[in-house]
Amino acid sequence: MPVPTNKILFRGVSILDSTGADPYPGDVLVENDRIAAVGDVDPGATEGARVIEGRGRTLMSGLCDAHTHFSWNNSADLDGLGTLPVEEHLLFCIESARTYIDSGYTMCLGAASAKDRLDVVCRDAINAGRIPGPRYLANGPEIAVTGGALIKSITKFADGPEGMRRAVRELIDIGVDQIKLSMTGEEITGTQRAEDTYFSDEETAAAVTEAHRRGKRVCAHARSAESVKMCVRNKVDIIYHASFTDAEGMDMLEANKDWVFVAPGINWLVATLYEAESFGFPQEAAEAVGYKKELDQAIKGLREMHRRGIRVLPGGDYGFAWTPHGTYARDLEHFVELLGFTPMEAIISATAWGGEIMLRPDELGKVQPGYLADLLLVDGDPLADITVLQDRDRLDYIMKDGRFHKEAADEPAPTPPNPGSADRNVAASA
Amino acid sequence: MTLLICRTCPRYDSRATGDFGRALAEAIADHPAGSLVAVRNVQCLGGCPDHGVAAVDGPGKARVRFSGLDAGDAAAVLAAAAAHDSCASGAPGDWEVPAELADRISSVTPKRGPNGF
Repeated sequence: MPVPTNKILFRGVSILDSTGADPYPGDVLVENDRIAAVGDVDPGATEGARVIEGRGRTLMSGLCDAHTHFSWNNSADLDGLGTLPVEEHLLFCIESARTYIDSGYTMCLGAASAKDRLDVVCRDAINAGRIPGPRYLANGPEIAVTGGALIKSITKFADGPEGMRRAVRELIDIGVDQIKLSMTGEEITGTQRAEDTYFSDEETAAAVTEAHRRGKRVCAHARSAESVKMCVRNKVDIIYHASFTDAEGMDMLEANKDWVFVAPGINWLVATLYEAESFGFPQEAAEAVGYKKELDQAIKGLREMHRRGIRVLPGGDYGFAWTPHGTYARDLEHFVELLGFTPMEAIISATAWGGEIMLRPDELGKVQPGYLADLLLVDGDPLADITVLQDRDRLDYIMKDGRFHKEAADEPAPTPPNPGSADRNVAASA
Repeated sequence: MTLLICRTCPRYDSRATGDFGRALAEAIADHPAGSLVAVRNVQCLGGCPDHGVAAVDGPGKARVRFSGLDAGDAAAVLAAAAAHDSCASGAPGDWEVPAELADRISSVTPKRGPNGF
């Protein structure tokens, strides 16, 4: 008995395919979960298809956030990440997953979970179709050495090579896709300096060797110059922040750019420096502890990484009170305004490179035949104004796996719909 | 010129109505100058404790955030957007902030261009 084919035709769209080509007019045919044809589509192939009239709107790949924390709960302080009871915390994570896909993000790479299995459970529920959310690679609690934790209540402690091996094995046992090492400090802690490195080479090597031996990747909170070099020396796959990368580290990154990814989380620095006063952290205080120096250094270094062709991806550590969930696409504006990316380069980093960091470069992140149908139909031109992606009302259609997560009415609503509240669990537990 | 309006204010309202953003967006749309700005209904602008938040922004210009707004401030917000747009830096001091908004600036986020240090 033949299996019925589900066909959807996006007709008359501006195709932004993430290959680097300029957008061009055409049609895109989706069959079941994949893109079947792009551009001039054979009319015979579209028979029976549901037609979405593009009217010149932009059809592009869903976005990727390379530094995602479902469980960062929009807290106004670091300790707030650890005080939410697990039941409420899981509900918050489910809401975060939904917020990501509501915002056009169909790919997310977990950068640490505040409790052991929050990420893993959400990933599995998304994959099973039980809750809406992006494709997700799950993480566990970040591993830190004694005296090197940013937030003790959400940390898995390990010391020495044997301790690292054991911690990695335990996290793999609960089902994570990658391992997070918290290698350096963070100025907002008041005690752990961003330029201090707490891991040793031996510990890093042991963690990476064990993870890779089991087919898992490693990512790292690595702000200091030494930590970036330690990551590259020991094959840490994904380097977060990399704010104080020095000349030697830059050369090492360039020499290894075929495998290493950098995801700076740049919005955290911008917003913490300039926009957190309403939550008790004024600009003067942020400057005093070093965030202006760090942002200046980070922008300079990240621009140089971009110039050298090192893959720098958006993904912003979102989930604090002044960087709440749902504001993810601001990273793309920062890439254009601060890091010197063209809008096209910023979109490629958030789509095609997203497919690469998700380990599915041949089927995620591009509008190409054979790719999985993770698509956005945008009312606007992101190349003309990258901020259009920050307005979810302009994301008329959101598709993942060939199924619509969102379908706009033919005529857009004149006013924003009820937004829901990403904070209700925090409020409930207060 | 871009006007960012928070869609979740008041953030800590358990009813999560998003009333502020809806009302300000409608008032902007109804204003004769409303069509001159690109409105972005964004999830949050991070000024939440003092709700009613919007910001003017533009390529290469500082993002200037205002708090404590309501729909009655639409004309002043549009005037701010126009003045911000006509100024190279976008930094308050380089453009005339409407008097009604002068004490409601809650953050200024500079942009740093290729030589912007």
